[in-house]
Amino acid sequence: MLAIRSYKEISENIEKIKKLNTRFVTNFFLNETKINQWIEDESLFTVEKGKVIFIFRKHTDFFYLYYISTDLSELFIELNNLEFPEHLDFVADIVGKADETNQISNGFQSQGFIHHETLKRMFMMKTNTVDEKDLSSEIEFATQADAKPVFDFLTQRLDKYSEQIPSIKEIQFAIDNQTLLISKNNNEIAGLLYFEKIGFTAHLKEWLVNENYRENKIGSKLIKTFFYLCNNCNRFILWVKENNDNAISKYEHYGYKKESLKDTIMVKHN
Amino acid sequence: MEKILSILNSIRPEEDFTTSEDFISDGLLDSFDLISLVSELDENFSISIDGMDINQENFKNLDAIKSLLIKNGAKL
Repeated sequence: MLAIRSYKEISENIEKIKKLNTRFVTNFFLNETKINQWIEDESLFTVEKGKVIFIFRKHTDFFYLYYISTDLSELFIELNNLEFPEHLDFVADIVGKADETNQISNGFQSQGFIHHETLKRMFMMKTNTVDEKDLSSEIEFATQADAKPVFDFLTQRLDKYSEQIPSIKEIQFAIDNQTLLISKNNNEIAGLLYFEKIGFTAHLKEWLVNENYRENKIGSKLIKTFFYLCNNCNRFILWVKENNDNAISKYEHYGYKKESLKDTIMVKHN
Repeated sequence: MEKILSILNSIRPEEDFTTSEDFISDGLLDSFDLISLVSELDENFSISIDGMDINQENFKNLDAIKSLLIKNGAKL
């Protein structure tokens, strides 16, 4: 595995594959800011196999696996030839519309990956704004001292393969950008909400209430503050487990609707 | 421009691409959409966009996409 040192190397890899076949298939989406963050963290690596370029991203104790391939048959051939280091798990997110992703996830399954979870994307266009007077003083911006407790809070409660738990660095970045809201009781985290704003789009990434505080309406206070902070956004998106009916109905209550985009999470345990 | 707009609208029907100067920063297109957009532009203009040109700057607005297509041999 070779370390990726610049965004240019990613472009060169895409170019190599496109020269072989014009078209290409990939699950490596081009978010330059995020990719540059990963490069800075020295967590991106690449392996070239025939007509496929694999990209690995180290995340805590497992790797995300991405591919850039001329087509699916080449991808499955080279996936079979890929040597996976022992004692590490590999996670592949297959993102697309349902009919496009089924074939790919079946191919991964035939190469030893197992289906772990499926997420659906939900979205809403802005309908109304939240007034400052409706906000609760219990909700505040997280501070740098909260970074490690927030990381622990999330890792204890979320599924590490499917729920894209942010690293401590990402949490620190969110704190700097005031995109991490928290509610605390003494020193205990009662609930938190983590989001990203990209232009006029607000991405709700994590929204979690401590099971000991479920009766205190912390969740609703958090999301109200989130909507207030995103009053200038016109599009709101999030990913949710497709079978999590409780969460889906909660999001629908706030105006989110299901999209056709889904993320099938495949895991190879070594 | 009409053809580019129609491709963009097929990817994100709910957005108005005529009023934004930066589709990425304004959140009209996200990282998932960029890959679909490259494929759609390749197919509709019978070209193969150079991999080195696939960066956010080249897809930021209608003029940037037009220049990218011309650079990659599209007949507009």
